[in-house]
Amino acid sequence: MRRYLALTKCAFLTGMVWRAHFIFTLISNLAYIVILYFLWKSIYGVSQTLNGMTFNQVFVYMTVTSSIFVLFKTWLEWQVSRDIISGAITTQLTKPLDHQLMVLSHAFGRTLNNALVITLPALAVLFGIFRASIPVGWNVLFFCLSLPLACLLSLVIDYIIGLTSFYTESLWGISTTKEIIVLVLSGGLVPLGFFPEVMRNILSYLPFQAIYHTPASILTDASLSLADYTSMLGVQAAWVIVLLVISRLFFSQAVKAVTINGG
Amino acid sequence: MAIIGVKNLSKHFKVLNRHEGLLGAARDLFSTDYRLVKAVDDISFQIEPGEIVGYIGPNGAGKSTTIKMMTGILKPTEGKIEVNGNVPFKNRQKNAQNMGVIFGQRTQLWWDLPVIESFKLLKEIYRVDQETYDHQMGMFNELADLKALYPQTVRSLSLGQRMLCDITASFLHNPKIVFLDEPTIGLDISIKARIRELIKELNRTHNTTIILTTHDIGDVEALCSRIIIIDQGHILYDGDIKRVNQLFGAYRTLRVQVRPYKGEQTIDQVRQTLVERYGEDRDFTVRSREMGWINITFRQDEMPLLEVLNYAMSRLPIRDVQIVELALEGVIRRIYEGALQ
Repeated sequence: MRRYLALTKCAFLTGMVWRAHFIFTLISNLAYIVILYFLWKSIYGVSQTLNGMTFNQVFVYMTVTSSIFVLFKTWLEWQVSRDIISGAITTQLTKPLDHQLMVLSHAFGRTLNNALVITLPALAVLFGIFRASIPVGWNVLFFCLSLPLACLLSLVIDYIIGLTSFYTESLWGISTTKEIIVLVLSGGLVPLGFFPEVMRNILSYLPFQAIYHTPASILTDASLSLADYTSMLGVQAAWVIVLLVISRLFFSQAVKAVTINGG
Repeated sequence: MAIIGVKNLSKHFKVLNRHEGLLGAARDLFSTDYRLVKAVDDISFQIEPGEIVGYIGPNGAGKSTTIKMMTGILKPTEGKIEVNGNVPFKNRQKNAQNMGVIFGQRTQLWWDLPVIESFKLLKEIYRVDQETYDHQMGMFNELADLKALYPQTVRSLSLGQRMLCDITASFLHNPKIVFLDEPTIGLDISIKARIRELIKELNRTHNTTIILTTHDIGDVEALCSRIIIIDQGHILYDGDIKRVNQLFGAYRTLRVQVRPYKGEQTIDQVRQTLVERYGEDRDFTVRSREMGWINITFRQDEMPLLEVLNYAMSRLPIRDVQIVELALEGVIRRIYEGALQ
């Protein structure tokens, strides 16, 4: 375990080197929150609630999902893909480390970077300037439990996408497709509460809603029962386990087919 | 007891035959027209603990493929490998614990961080205890004078400095086997010499087994007592370097620039000078090359290189000298021609 934490530390230190990257991501994320505010303000107009959600709920929900989106943006699949295509993966495979855990702990270091320099300032703006309010109760505790699971889920999906480079030797198309699918189907673009009933039912069986919708709706909705919270976390945990297993099988299969580039 | 055993090892790749042009590219999308490339074809050898073995061959001979199989990255198509009692592909992580690997064109160091952070990370990865770590770092500092580099970021190091760090880093956990794939590629003579010294010393102090692949005959001559020559996936020669040394050393070429250069007249002057010293019947040639360079090729055992050089310098108005490095390709050609039989 210490070995992987040491990797996380190095990734975190590396992340801190890219100051310009963080400044610009922070600015663009804040701009996005401002846009969200005025967009949803105008959508609501004079109405108090739409689809059972108040303006404040939607605004907090959207700000939380967009902040989580930036938080989980570790470029993991690009890293994995670049390592595979350039052949740098050979050096990694000569270390006594599990590839999946190595990649995940590396990405986790990046997540810490994001949390520190992007997500926390964004939340400060949300509550400090826009005076958004959230109900405080069990929901905050369950949000804190739900977030790491969501993070793991997002990283494992990215890992699987990155591994496809073993076969395709290119990532652009598949990564942008994934990005759109995840963003729309997870509530990252529009709250899932705005989707038709049938669609919501289908989505509840897919892993994507567990990334953004679950933590965001837990935080904004204090009316849920403890049983609701635990079942939501249960679904997240189940998907994490399923995808971890799938990605491990995929890796052990893909690495057999490997023809490592560059001599 | 051999530390590495390779038996009837083969690795075949399936490669898509690409077609030319737009139409060809479209066809390739659906093509199942593969050809089989035998990167390594039925090789066997054994390596004893503490040996430094030169594993050499031209580009595309199958060297790196063999190394990748011994390190457990690639799965052999056929045959057996045992490294340190493990089957590398099945026990990649366990095998890696006792192994250091350098791929000369890549680095295991963290590009954006100070050098010392990479060493600290490797300490954790290989579970090196503090005492061993301090001892090893002290030794590296003595051998390669690395301390000044520790606070620098890896991206700011020169290629030679980075290679010194990379090589010492691969010895940090005191591995039983170290694979060095082209460790001196792209480096200048003085840093090459330092790296060879370092490798030799590390091998001596810990009895580390070292497999060295290289294009540079100088590396092999300086470090290895045994070489394995591979070409097109087959082993051409496996044994003592001395026998092959005769091949390497058989002909040397000395390049000189004589001023003033008067074409044929100067060539004759050089030939005449050498005939005066060595007589008519010696096997040497003098040829003119571009830019007024003259190549003198001779047999090393009849005319020692240094002697020829000193003699020529004392008798001819020589302005500049070069000693031509031996080309591996020439050696391999001679082996094919039966020079070792």
